[in-house]
Amino acid sequence: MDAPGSLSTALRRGTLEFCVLALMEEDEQYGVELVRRLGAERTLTTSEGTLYPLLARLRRAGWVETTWRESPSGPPRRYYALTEHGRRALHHFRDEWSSFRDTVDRIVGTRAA
Amino acid sequence: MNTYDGLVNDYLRAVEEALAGVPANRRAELLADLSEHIAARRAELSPEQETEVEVRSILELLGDPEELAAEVMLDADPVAPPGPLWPAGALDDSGPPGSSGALGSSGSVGSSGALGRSGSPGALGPPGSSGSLGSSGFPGAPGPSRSSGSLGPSGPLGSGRPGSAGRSEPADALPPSAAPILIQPKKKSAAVIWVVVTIGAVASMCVVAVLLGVFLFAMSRDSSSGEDSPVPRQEVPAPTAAPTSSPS
Repeated sequence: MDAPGSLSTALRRGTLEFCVLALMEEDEQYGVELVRRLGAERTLTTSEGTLYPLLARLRRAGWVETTWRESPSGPPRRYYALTEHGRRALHHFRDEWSSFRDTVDRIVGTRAA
Repeated sequence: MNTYDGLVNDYLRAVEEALAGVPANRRAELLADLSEHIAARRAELSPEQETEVEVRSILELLGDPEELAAEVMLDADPVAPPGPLWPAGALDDSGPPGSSGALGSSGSVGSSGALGRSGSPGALGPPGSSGSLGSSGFPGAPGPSRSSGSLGPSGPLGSGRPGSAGRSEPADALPPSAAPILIQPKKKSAAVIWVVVTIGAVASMCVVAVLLGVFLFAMSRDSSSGEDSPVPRQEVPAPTAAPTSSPS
């Protein structure tokens, strides 16, 4: 049987990327700030650095696009924004997730009373 | 070079080594992202605040190099062969405006200016060697704006984008299908043998079919010629009326 750590990893897989998309839904996000925010969510990530491969995957998938902006202090900043393709993917996930979560809750017995 | 640049370079070097089995474009991409992150976080600190503890904290939050490599390998393509990784400028997308240098201009991780030893992908040059880490080392590694190697003029993230603030980046400048298809020698010889055997079998079947056709044709010709040939009609002697001797 898998170790508890493996379970966390498996649960994160396939869901974390949509959490990232959701954070960009309203407005574009400064990459470092986005990573810092998600990195603080220990349920979702193990470290800040592991989010960069994920962001790269989202870029390659065309779900997010990036924009460089000058910073008032320090190096230029990279901003991440949701593309239309990414927005559709997020909506699709929400539909699937609701159904999936309800089914798991019903079978496993974790449905809120 | 900042006092703590060595810490950053050591960390990036460890990440790069952990990424040895990762395709070069992904490796360069992550190193550029991490360098950018570190530079940005260090820029938030005032010179007084930037202590060894702070820098170590930034690196610790980024995570263990092996852990990062494992995350990258989740969706990694087959390992690219060593050698030039991408055409010059292929990695330009990774860099912020105003930067120029190794990853973009040389298109090869570890080549001169990127990680040290000139022309050896992934190789790490000794500190202080030509093109080694420092003012032209890892992207943004030397620290933000307080050292000459910041993400600005000499940061090796890519070719410069003067005045590109606010410009949208393409999703990915690196063609995922650009990795060459490798055929293992053993598989190649087996495939050649298979093709030769198949061609031989098909040729044999063709020869057999032709011979069979010729044989059948000859047989049919023989039988038909037998039917057409005039059979000498035997004269059937007309029955001679037997003299009937009628008793009279």
